[in-house]
Amino acid sequence: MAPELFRLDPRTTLLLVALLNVVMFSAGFTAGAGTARLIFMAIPPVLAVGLRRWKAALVYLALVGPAFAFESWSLDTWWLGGANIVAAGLASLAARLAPGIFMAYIAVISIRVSELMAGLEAIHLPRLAVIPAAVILRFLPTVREESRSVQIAMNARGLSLARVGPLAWLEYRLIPLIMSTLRCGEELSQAALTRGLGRPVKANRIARIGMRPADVLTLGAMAAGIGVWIVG
Amino acid sequence: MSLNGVSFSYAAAERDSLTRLDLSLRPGEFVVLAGPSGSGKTTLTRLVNGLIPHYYAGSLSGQVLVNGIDPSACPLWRLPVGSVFQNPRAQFFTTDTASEIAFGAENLGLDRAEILRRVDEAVAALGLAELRDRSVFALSGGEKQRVACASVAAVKPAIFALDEPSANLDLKSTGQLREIMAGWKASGATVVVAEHRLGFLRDLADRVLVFADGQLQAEYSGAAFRSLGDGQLHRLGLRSAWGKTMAATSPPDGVDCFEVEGLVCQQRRSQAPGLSAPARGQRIEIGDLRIPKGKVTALVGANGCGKSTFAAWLGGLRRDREGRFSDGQREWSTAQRRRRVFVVLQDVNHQLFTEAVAEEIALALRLASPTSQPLLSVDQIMESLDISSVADRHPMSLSTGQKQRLAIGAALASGRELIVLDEPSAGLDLNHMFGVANALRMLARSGQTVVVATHDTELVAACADNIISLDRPR
Amino acid sequence: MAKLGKGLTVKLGITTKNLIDVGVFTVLYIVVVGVFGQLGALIPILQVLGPFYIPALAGVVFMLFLTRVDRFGMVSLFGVLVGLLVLATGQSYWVPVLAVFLAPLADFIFKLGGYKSWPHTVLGYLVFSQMLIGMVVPLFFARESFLAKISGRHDAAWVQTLVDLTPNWMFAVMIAELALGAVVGAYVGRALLRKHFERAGIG
Repeated sequence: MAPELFRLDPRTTLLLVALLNVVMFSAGFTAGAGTARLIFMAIPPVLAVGLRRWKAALVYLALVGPAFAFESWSLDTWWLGGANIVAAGLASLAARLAPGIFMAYIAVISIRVSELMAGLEAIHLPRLAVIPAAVILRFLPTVREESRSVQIAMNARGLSLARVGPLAWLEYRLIPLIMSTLRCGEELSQAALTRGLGRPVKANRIARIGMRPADVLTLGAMAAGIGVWIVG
Repeated sequence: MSLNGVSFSYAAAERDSLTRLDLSLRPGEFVVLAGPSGSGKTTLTRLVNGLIPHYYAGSLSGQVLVNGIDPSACPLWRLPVGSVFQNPRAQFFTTDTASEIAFGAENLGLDRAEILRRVDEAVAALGLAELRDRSVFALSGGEKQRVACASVAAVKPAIFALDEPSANLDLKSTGQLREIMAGWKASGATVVVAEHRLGFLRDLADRVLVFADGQLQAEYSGAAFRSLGDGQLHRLGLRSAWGKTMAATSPPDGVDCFEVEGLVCQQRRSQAPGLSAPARGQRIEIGDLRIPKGKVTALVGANGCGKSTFAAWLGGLRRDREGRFSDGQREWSTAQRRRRVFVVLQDVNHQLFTEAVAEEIALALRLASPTSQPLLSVDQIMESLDISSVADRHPMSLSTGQKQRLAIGAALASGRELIVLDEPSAGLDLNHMFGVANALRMLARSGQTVVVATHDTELVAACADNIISLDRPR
Repeated sequence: MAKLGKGLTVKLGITTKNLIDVGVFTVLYIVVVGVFGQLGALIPILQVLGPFYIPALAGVVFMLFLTRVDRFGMVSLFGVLVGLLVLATGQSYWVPVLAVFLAPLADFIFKLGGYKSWPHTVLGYLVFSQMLIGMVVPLFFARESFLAKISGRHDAAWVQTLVDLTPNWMFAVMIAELALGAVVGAYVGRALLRKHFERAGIG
C-alpha cells in the first residue's frame, strides 16, 4: 500500500493528467512556458517515488531530462546547422510526449476504482460517465493480464511470427485476447448487476476521498506552473 | 421461492435448458443442484438470481416466484438474492478488498456507518481480517472467492445462489468456502448451490436435486444422499462425494526417467493496480524430482505449492536460473524445453486459436517439428478423443470438457515428448473428467510422457501411474 | 448535473449493462489503437501508414461493439471516452474535441440504419475513425510557435527545411488514409465476426 502521505484524491490526479497534457502541447518556446513545462514534468516522478516505483521514475528522468535539456540548449546555440532542426524537433517531441504517457501510467496504477467512483459521484457526474470510467480503470490491468496469458499460450504452442506469418499471427494474438476480455466483461457485468449496481439511489461510498496535504501541494504546484506560463 | 411449470431456452439454443420444472424451496433450506454439465442446474441458479431474463435473453414460460416477487417483472436490483459465480477472477468491480466487500452494501444506498458496520461484520464472520486492505489482483483464487462471498454477505440477502463456486479452488479453499456456507445456513438464509464437487456440501445439504437434460431426475433428502456410495453417484453421472487420500509414490529404480535437479522458482506476483507497492516475490523450492517416461505422473499439493509455476518451468516458459532438467542423458535448456515440451495451461480458453476443431488439430500438426513424425491424422486424433462430432464447431463454442480434450488433441498432434497439463479437470463433471483421464492415458500409450498438475483425487485415481507431491513437511 | 444525467439515462434507455459494455469496448479499442500506434513511433514508415492500418485493425473491435448497440448514445459515449483516454495518454486534445462532434454524427448514421444496415455501418465507422486525425494535428499546426521562435534568428532556408518535413498535403493524405483504413477495417471486422465470434456464440 502506498504511504498515506502521498495519496492523492482521484480528482486531483485526473486534473493533473488533463492540465499536464494541455501545458505540454500548448506551451510554446518562451521562458515562462519552459518553466511551466519544467514544473509539470517534475510532478509525475515525485508521485512515482511516492508509489515506490523507483525504477520507473529513474527511467523517466533519464529520458525526459536530457531531451528537455537538449531542446532548450540546442535552440539557443544552433550548433548543428541544418540537422539541428530535426534533432531539436525530435527532442522536443519526446520531452512533450513522455510526461503525458508517464502521468497516465501513474494515474492507472495509483487510482483505485472505488475512489474514482466516489470522487466522480461526489461531483455529481451522471452514471453515464461514472460506470464506464470505473470499468475502464478496472479493465486496463485485466486486458494486460489476458494479453500476457495469450502471449504465453502462443509461446507454448510455438506460434511465432516467423512460423505463421504476420496476418495469422495478428489473428491468433488478437482474437483470443478480445474473446477472453469480453468473457471477463460479461462475468463482471453479472457480478455487478446482481450486487445492485444500477439501483436508482445515491450510493454512499466508503472509499476515502477529499483534500489532503498531498493534494494541496500538488494543486499548488499546478497553479504555480500555469501562473508562470501566463505571466511569462 | 417456487417454480411452476418453468421452461427456458437460451436465445440461440435449439432445445430447452430446463423443461417444465416444478419446485418449491422452504425458507432456510440448503439445496444442492447436481448433475452433468448442460443438465440445467446453472440455468436454475440464473432463474433464482434474475440473470434470466434480465441478462440472458430467451423464451421463458411458467411462473417463477422469489420471495413472492416475479423476477421478470421487477428490476434486477430489487431481488433479495446474492450471487457467487464460478470464476473468482472476474467477479470484482473494484480493485481493493475493503471497497469490494462494501460494494453491494454501498449500492443499497445505506449510510456510511451502516456500510462499515456490515463490512466489519462480514469480515469477522468470514474470517477475512488479514485480507481486509489488499489489492484484489494480489489474491489467490481461494482468497478472491472468499472476498466475493463477503461482498454478497454484506448485502444480507434472504437467498444465496451459487454457481459452481468451488470449480477453481483447491481443497483447503474449498474447506473455507464450506465454513462460510455453513454460517449462512446457520443464520437462516436459503442457499441454492449448483456444484460438481459434492464432497464439501455433503453434510450441509437439506436436499439434493439431481438434474439431467433439463429435468429433475432424482431428489434426495440430505440423509438419503449421504447414504449413497460412489457407485450409485457415478450411475447418476455425479462426481464422488467422498474424499480420497493420495500418497506420493516414487518410481522404481531402473525406470527411464526425466530428471529435475535443484529447482528453485522465484514467484512473481502480479503488480497491484491501485495499491502500489509490488508484492514481494516468494521462493518456491521444488528440489529434485523424477518423472518416469511414457507414464502419467500426477503432481499434487495445495494451491500455492508451486504446481502451476513448475508446469510453466517444465514448458520452458520461465527462466528461473536455479535448477536443471535432463532426459536421463542430456540436459535440456529452457529453449529446448520450449520446443520439446507441450504445456496445456490452466485457462484453456487462451490456448485455442483457430476457427474450427479440425483446424486446431491441423495447426498443431503443421507446427510439429519435422523430427518428431506425427503418428496420426487429424481424423484419427479427433476420433480417439471423441471430438469428431464437433469437428466443424468453433473451439470457443465447446463445453469446457471438450475444450480440454481438444487441447490434449493439439498436444498429441504436436508429437512432443513431454506433455504437461495444469488442472485439466477443473470444473468438469464425471463424464468429462473420465474423458480427460482417458485422453491422458492415450497420450501415454502413444509414447508421450504426461505430467498432470491437479488437486482432483478422482482424476488421479483414474489415470495416474505415479504421484509426486509438492507439499513439504514444514 | 445529476438530474440531467438521470433524465438522459431514462430518455436514452441506456442500461447499466450497456454502460459496462461501453467501458469494456473502450478499453479494447484503446489498447488496439495504442499498441499499434506505438509501433509507429518506433518504425518511421509505419508513422506514415498508421492512419491506414490503425482503423483497419481496430475495425474488428468496433464491429463487435456494434453488435451490442441498439440505441442512440452508446457510440457517442464510446467516442468521447476514447477521446478522453487518448488525451490522458499524452496525445493531443484534438481527438476529444473532434470526438464530441464526430462520434454523435457516426451514432446518428448508425441509428438511421437501425444499427443493422451495412452501408450505414461502413459510413458510420468511416466518420468515427476521422477523430484519430486529431493525433497528428499538432505536427502540422503547433509548429507555428516553434517557427516563430527560430525564424527570427535564422535564414529562410532553415525554416523551409522544417516546413518541407511536414507538408500540408500530407494532412489530406492522412485523412484519406483514415477513410480507406476504416472501410477496410469494417470489412475485415465483419469477416472476423463471421469467422470467429458468431461461430463461437459471442456477438
